[in-house]
Amino acid sequence: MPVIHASGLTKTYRFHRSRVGLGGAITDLFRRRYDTRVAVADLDLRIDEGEFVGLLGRNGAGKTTTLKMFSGLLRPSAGALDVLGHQPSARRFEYLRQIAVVLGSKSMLWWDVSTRASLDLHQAIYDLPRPMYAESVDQLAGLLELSDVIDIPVRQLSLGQRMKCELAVALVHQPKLLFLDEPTIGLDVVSKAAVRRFLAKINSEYGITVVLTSHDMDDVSELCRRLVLIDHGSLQFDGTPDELVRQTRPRKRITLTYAGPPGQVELEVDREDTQRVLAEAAGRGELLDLEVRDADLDDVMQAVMGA
Amino acid sequence: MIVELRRHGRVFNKLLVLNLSASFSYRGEMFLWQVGNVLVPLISLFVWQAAVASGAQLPITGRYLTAYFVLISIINMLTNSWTAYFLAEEIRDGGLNRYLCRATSTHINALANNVGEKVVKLILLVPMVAVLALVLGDQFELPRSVWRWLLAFGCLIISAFMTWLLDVMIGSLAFWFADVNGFLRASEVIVPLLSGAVIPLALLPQAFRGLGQVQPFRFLVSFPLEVLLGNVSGGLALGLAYQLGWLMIFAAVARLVWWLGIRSYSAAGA
Repeated sequence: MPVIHASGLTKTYRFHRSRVGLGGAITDLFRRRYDTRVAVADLDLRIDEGEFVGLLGRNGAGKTTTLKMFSGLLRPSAGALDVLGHQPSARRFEYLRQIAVVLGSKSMLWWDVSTRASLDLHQAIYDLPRPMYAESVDQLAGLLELSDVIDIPVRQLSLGQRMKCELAVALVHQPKLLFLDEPTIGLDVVSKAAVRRFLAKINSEYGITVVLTSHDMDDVSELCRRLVLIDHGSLQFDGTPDELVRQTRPRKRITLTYAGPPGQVELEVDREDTQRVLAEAAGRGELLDLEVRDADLDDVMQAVMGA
Repeated sequence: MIVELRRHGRVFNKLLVLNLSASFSYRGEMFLWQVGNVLVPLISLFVWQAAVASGAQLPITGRYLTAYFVLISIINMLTNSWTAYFLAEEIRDGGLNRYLCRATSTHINALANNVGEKVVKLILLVPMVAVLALVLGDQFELPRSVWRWLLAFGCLIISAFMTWLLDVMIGSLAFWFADVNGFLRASEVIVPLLSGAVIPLALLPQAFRGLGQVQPFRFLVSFPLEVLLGNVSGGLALGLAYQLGWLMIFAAVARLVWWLGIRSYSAAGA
């Protein structure tokens, strides 16, 4: 069942192009030049219930604009968009109560008060019955290990603790669909791992559909079962991470470590030649170690973005 | 509709408590602001009293002038709004996203912030004005009629709401202009003068007085004080009709500007 269904989705921005220098600035006062930039062009996309989808692309590719249209922050310029049976930009309560948005670089928490105060506020915002609210807070505090920090003013929390609190506040109303924009930005490895474990769990055990944008390929490779690659506002790829790797960097990477010279050797070979190369490598000396792998997502994205 | 209003009411209450807690943590700064709020009208009063002593003929009595300048700091503070700057910032840097993606509104928070801060400011300001009233007690009198106080209070609430709506209109200009500081600065100069926050409107030059009675800014500060002190230019009934009329126009324009703006919102940043 589709949770998100976009057809011909387009977003254009109109912006003022300023002239250079004092003369240009004076001319701008009387005659402004406007340009139009297409951020998302004719995007067709369907995301089903329970999926964990990564929206990938370079900066300015259109992925965050897409996410903003899905979450109702932006009004599409053209095309049709249906999310959970609603038109997101109408921002109806029935729609907003089914979604949650976590923006890695914009806190949803109240800075001067505790996370519990923000949670209480969300109880009122989403009209949550007391028992459901209490159960939800207990569950999230347990999953995110927040018991020790939930009553501390947010300004006194570390970045990692704050992101966990952001997730708790975003999910307290038990949404069906979660939009994440760079949720692990700036976090240390331990906090990143904790956030990823939590996200994987809410997707697999609670069936929450997740749409993620991230430049952290570890987030993407650990969490997303489907990748949607957007470049210059258009859909460039839609499939599994494995399919993306095979399409973009089909060659296998072989690392051979010999007991004697030449020591460690790294090779990139065509997939169909792998067996032949391995057989030849074994005959060239005593092998201490052998590793055969696909290109990782970081390499793939570098190749895609550099193209 | 009623269910929705009740929900907004509960959100407002929670936000009010949050804003009150936050405001109390800035009480020192607010105290200094309130000292300024009392001192400026006091200085104005002394200047006008000196003018009267030098033989200046004013269209109002000295007792009205004193009552006006003693009370204006409270009226001005209670009808003030600071939403425009913060709203413009939220629109410009994308902070508005925090409200748009939740089932609430930045306006409920702005109202709760407005009311919360005013409660804290009132606690700080009232003792200062009380001292001033004691010192100048023999130079003015306040009305004894309860209904006049109640009516003035009602007009004061409408004035505060109108000022806030004006702020929503000015702040919303950030949907179209990269920098709204020019508009803010212009409003900071024009509104206090035309609202009666700087001097009673009766002291404006003769040519402006007729216009002064119908222009909307009069109903932001001066009007509730005119009602309280029983000196409504043009009559009470006509004044009330004007205020309600301007309230409806402000509400309609603010709603329209916001509606048009949100359609062109670019949600900058994250």
